[in-house]
Amino acid sequence: MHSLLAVADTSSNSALITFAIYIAVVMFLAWCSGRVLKKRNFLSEYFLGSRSLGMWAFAMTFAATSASGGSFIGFPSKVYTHGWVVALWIAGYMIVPLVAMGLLGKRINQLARKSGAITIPDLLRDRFESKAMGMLSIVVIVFFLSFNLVSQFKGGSIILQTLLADVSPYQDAVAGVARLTHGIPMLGSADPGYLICLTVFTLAVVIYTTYGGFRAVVWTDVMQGFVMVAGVAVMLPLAIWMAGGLQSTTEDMSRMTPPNGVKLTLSAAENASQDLTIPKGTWLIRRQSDDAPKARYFRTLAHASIAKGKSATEPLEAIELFLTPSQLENVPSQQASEFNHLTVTVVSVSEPEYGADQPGVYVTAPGPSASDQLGFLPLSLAVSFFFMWTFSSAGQPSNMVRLMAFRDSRTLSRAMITVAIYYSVIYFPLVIIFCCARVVLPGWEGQSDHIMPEMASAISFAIEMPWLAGLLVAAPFAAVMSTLDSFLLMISSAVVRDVYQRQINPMLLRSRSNGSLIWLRCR
Amino acid sequence: MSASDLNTPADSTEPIIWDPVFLHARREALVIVLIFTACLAWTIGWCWWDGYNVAVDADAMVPMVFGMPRWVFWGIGVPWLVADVVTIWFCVRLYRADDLSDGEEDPLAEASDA
Repeated sequence: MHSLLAVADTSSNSALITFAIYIAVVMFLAWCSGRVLKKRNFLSEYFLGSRSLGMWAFAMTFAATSASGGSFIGFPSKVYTHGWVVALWIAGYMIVPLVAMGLLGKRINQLARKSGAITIPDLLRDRFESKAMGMLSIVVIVFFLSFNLVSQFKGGSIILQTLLADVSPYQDAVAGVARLTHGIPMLGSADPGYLICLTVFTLAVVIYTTYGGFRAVVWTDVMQGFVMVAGVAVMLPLAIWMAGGLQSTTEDMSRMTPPNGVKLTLSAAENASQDLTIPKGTWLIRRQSDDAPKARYFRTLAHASIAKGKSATEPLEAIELFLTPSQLENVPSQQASEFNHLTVTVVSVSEPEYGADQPGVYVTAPGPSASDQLGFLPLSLAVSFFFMWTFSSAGQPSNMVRLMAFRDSRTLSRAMITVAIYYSVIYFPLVIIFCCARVVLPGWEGQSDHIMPEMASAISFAIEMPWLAGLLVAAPFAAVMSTLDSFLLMISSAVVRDVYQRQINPMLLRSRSNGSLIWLRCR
Repeated sequence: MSASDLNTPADSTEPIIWDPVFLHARREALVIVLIFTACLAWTIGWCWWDGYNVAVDADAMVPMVFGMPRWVFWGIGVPWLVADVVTIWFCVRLYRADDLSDGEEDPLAEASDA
């Protein structure tokens, strides 16, 4: 018992335990779903849950599928990089539940029941009495969702890497894989940790989706939906507290200006006696002197090294940060001092295209932009995004297929209310959390995709509850998984139902269909 | 299934009998589009007026409400809240609980269970 407590007391093992529990629950739900599957009409149950989803299952699977890795990785990154204007960027979600579910939901469900359609191509082909329409929709779904799958797989693997970074069995495995893949084309140049996490993540998702089908996806979505809400609910008050209050955060953001991109060299007073490596993300400070009226703060965007016998690095990419007093308090002093003996020489500077030396840019529209002279969100783009979020959600195949699966109209109307509240408590709080992150964790503009797990770690460290990091990181992990499993099922249903059963073997028997489904998915 | 959901009569002189689910869905769709337009107009209109190209004062401060920039609170936060209330009203008062159950199971799906 003592040893167990000792193990659980370290943050890394807490993260591992959290992840293990999470995966175990997901697998258990898939197993339960598989048991249900054996008792029902196979294709209708496997791909559509027998059109019997109740309010909670329907609402949570709809919401969780929409909230992808982008919601918990890309979106926080955007808030961190561009400030309050990202609230306008995502504002279309205020009306998404009504449009995406209410506009077509009742009709899609009714037509699917009338025609017996269990996939979107099924529905379109029957509705328009056109085989060409059905085939076109299959091609569109398989082609475009495959690209989306890649980003979800990558997102899941990156989160898993962050979660397991300090776990010793994982580090041993990384070293082993590095030895195994050394010299193998393509694999050898890939990050071995990424390869391990990609394999584990892929296996987990494919196994539970294959075994349990649509119902497994829905049940895990429900759980993942609650995990996401819990993650945001825990992070919101703690982030505001760590930043010193929302008022103080916004005031501080008003004084911030976006960083410059720089190229710099680092040099030592003497030639190095051994190789000196400066990791990516290292803080560097050029102290105040007669030449420089005030201190300058840099953060590297790539690894650099001073080779043995040399005294300087090659020019490397970095950002120069203009920190407010509140942000300065949160610069990790230990890291900042580690390379203080090196002299920083700025070779070139590139200012952001919009917002350079312009206080207030993080709290007004269109927001700072490194590459666009019109800023992050010109008004025309804000209008476009409002339309895009709303109507693209109505036409998103994984959303449409869920509209074929709810039990009755009353379920749909209650689910719309639930999803509306769900989006409100997810997206707007995320804007607040990651505005606070600008104060709490300065200097992540160069690696802003990492801000979600970093913020989770910072919060759990601040309240001395390391196990919480695992729970908070499970939120984006759940978001990725819930989207990925739905896309996998969409693609497999397009292939099995619309290509194999419709075109090749219309009289597919149950005993064979089960095997065929799994065989086709694994190809 | 026929290409449309009209219960098309054999004799073209007979009046068309529309599916009530279709009629309700069409009416609801119209209301949803109106609500969407109102949200779009409020959000974009307010943010354009109060959020774009705003001159910050000497202390680089913008007007704030509850710790948020004023344009975010009135242009995004409040309409989001109102949109939620309208969604609840729409679902409770306006959305018709139509009977969607119909038809038979797809023959191909049946075959797979044979």
